[in-house]
Amino acid sequence: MITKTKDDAKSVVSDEQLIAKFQLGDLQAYDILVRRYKDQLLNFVYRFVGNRTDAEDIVQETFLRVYKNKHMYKEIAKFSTWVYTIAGNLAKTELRRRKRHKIFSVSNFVNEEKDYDIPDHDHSPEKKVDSAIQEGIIQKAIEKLPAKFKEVIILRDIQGFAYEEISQILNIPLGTVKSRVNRGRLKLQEDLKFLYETEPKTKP
Amino acid sequence: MMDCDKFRMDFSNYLEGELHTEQRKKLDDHFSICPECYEIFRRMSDIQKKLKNLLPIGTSPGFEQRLQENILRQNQHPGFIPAQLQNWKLPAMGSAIVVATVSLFLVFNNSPAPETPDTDTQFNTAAPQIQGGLAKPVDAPTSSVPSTYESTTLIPDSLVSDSARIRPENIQQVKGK
Repeated sequence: MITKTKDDAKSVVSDEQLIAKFQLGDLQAYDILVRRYKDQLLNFVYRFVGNRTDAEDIVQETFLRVYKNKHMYKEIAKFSTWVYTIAGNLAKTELRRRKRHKIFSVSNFVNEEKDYDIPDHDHSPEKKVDSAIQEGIIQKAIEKLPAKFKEVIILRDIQGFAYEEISQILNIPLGTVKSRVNRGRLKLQEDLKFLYETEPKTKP
Repeated sequence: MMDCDKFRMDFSNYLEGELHTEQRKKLDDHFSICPECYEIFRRMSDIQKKLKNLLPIGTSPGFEQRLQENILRQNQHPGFIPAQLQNWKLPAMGSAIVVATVSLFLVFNNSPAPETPDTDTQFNTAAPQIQGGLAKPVDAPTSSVPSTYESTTLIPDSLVSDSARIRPENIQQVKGK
């Protein structure tokens, strides 16, 4: 006998059906939505603000707002669009708050080049950095991107959203999204090009 | 350089396979003569792969528990008002009744009795009327005062039930005096 697993249930009940149930008072539907989205939202916000604790607080606040404002969700949009919009706005508010209160990380007090000098000063002649360090460098480079590039790069290249949905989440035209993704990628490769200085150059 | 900027605008479309064959060929031709653009494109492609492969992080084990607590806290203490007082009508009405009762008691109990009773303005109009003053000193010995006086002056009208106030036998006793 085949029993339905959680994944089966996930494929059967859509996010939109769950939020509709929750709007009618089904708290279990809310719990399922939290379980579905908590990790991907955390990754989105973490890449945005660069601090895990802050990111988790923002995701908490996102779900609290979903709970309190459940009736503000309209079926014209996907649930994922709605919840990502809430989380994105909270993340941007957090960044603005930090800017106002001048809460910068140490890296913000040194210039951009020095920030990426960490692997170069690692006495390895090949300048080979292990994946953990490289991840940290990439994360810092993402954080340093202007917000308008950062949000599209995270949504497109890390979270894998379609351009159309990014357009809805950020409420900007599709052409603007594509243009920002391209410019964001160009900026990122410029900021990270020191990682490639000694790698062999081969044509694809 | 102008051409390079123009070609670079199409790098993402090239990466995502959104260029037509003709556009793609133009870009390939440009790569063959511009190593700088080709290097940029190669790095861009590689970084995009790295971004996709960044290790995902997960929420802490107590995340859902904490969320439940936050929801409960917000529901129980909206604006620091205790849950029992969230419905303000009941306690407000209770307080108003208590205040009104105490006020009435204090007003009527402490108000000086009129020297000459005026049947038009006296609150206890149904009580028997006594000529020569109705007030009995508080500290006066009760034995020296007729019982009928006590019933008409010391007890405020509001505290005496109608049935007690208009007892015919009381009226009869006063008239007899």
